[in-house]
Amino acid sequence: MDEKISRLINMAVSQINAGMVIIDSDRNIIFWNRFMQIHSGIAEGDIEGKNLFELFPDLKGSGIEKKIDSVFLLKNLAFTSWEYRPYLFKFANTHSVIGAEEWMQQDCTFSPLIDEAGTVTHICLSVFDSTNTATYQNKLLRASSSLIKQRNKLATINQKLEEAQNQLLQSEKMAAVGQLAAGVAHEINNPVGYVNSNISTLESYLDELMQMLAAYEACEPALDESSELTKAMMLTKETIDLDYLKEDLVNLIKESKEGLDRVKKILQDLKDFSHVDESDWQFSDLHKGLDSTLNVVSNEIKYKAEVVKHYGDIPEIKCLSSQINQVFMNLLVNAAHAIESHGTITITTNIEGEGISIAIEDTGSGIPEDKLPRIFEPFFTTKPVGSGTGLGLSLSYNIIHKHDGKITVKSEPGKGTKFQVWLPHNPPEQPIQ
Amino acid sequence: MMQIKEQFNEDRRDALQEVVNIAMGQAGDSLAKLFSTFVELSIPKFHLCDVTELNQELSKNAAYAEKITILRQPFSGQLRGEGIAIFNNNGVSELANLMGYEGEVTSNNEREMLLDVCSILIGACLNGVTSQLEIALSYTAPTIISQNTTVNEFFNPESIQWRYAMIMEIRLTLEQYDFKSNVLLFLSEDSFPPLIDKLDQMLEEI
Repeated sequence: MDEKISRLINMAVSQINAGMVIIDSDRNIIFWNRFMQIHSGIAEGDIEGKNLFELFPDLKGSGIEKKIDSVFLLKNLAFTSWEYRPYLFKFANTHSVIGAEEWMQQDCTFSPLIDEAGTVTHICLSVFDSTNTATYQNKLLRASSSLIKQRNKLATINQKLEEAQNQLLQSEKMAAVGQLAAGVAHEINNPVGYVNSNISTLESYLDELMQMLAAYEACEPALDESSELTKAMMLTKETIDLDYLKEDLVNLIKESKEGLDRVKKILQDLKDFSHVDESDWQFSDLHKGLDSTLNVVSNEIKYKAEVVKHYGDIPEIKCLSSQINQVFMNLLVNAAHAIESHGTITITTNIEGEGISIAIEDTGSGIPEDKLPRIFEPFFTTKPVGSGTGLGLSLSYNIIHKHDGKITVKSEPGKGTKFQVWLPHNPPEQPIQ
Repeated sequence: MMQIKEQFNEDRRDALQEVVNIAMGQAGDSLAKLFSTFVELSIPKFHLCDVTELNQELSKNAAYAEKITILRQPFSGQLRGEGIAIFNNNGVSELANLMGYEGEVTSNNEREMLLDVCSILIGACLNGVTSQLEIALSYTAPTIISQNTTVNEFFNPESIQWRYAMIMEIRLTLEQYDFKSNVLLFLSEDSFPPLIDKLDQMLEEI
């Protein structure tokens, strides 16, 4: 080659802004360009003939020996990347004033130098400064990981919002049902009122009529039996079966009054249950709430289970009674649904600590152990599609929580489930939803 | 496609197979020396396929059904393409020790080691071919393109720019280490004419 070009190439190798190291087959360094001298502080004269691994002991046992072996054996290229190995040679950062990386980040390539016979005699190691790229890349990584964190946080918040919204919806639905019930109760109350009053009047009139009839009957022996009028009267008396009629009339009135009493009771229960007129925190009797709820849901329960009450001597507690009744209703309906053919629902109330405990226990199918931790989750339901919203227990949980109370569950598949609610006697008032 | 298939007639295919077999023999020898263990290299299989069929083609291989790590090394010059190395995730830390990473093997060590092995395998496969056919190639540093993925997730036709690719499939097994790797060499369409020329030259010399 032209001597001039050869001199230029030497100059270029010396001046190129990348490290260049030539290693012989004994892994001794035989060349070390200006870039390497400047960054390592080791002059070319001081490295000549020295072993790469003796000069840089950190490189031992880190896979570099095999990389070099592979280049000698297979004539392929070997690489290191700053991403997985920040540097091969520990050089001070080139971006010393404004920079985040402490050491120069390097991308390195091991290339084979092959003689005419096709044998690899030396290896050329080139070292490129990738500090700038690495700094930006690392910044980007940090930024994107913080973005991911924020996104996950937002997703959690969104989910919570959605749950809250659904519970609100359910709670509003319940309130609307309550209001409707109260409205219907109010509307029915009036006609039932005058029917009731009329029946009472009717009863007293009837009583008087009976007295009158008795007086007429007392006259019967004095009548002329052969008279046509008397014959007609006796025939009528026989045809209408007066004796039975007298007896039955009394019964009919009595039964009608009983029926009206039941209607009045149901109306009162509906009012008590919905508590439209008392949606504030008030001291109330839980037994009354339980009983009115039992009446409201009696249709769901009466063919399924016998209700056994073990009511203790408990004081009134401060609560939002309409909401507490909703909880009772959910628990009672769930208990009835859990019973396949016929069973028992036991309600027990007691004083416990600074509050009251209410246990509702059924002899139903129970909840499998793996599902137990999830039953208070919104939308979790074991009922067939369409029959449960999966919100009842979640709503109950929140209501009890709002009362500073506790709701716990114990269940044994095949034997039954026991929900235990504990409510404090006088909890701090929380805003009504 | 038909045209390209016709260009790769039986003579040319046989010639390429021969070249590749010799290359693999040499590579197997060198790899055994490097790893100091018995290395089993399969006889390379060729597929010439449309990219849309690639997925289907690759899915036939049961080895690609599991979760895998995919690396690639581009090469350019008279032949242009990318070498794709697929590793199953077994025996990686043992292999790292075999490759001279001592002590506790970090995930970065493992990744660098897989890159080393990718470069070694692709280099070993291609160097043997290029030296026989006197083709000059240059290589770019390999990169990990996907970890814990499946072939179906990775090779979708939208992500591949070439319409046709010649795929050379080589399987490497290190028996002692339960380590398996498949190397796919993708040649771009525009690499076919120079490759055919070189094969014809070789056929004439015989």
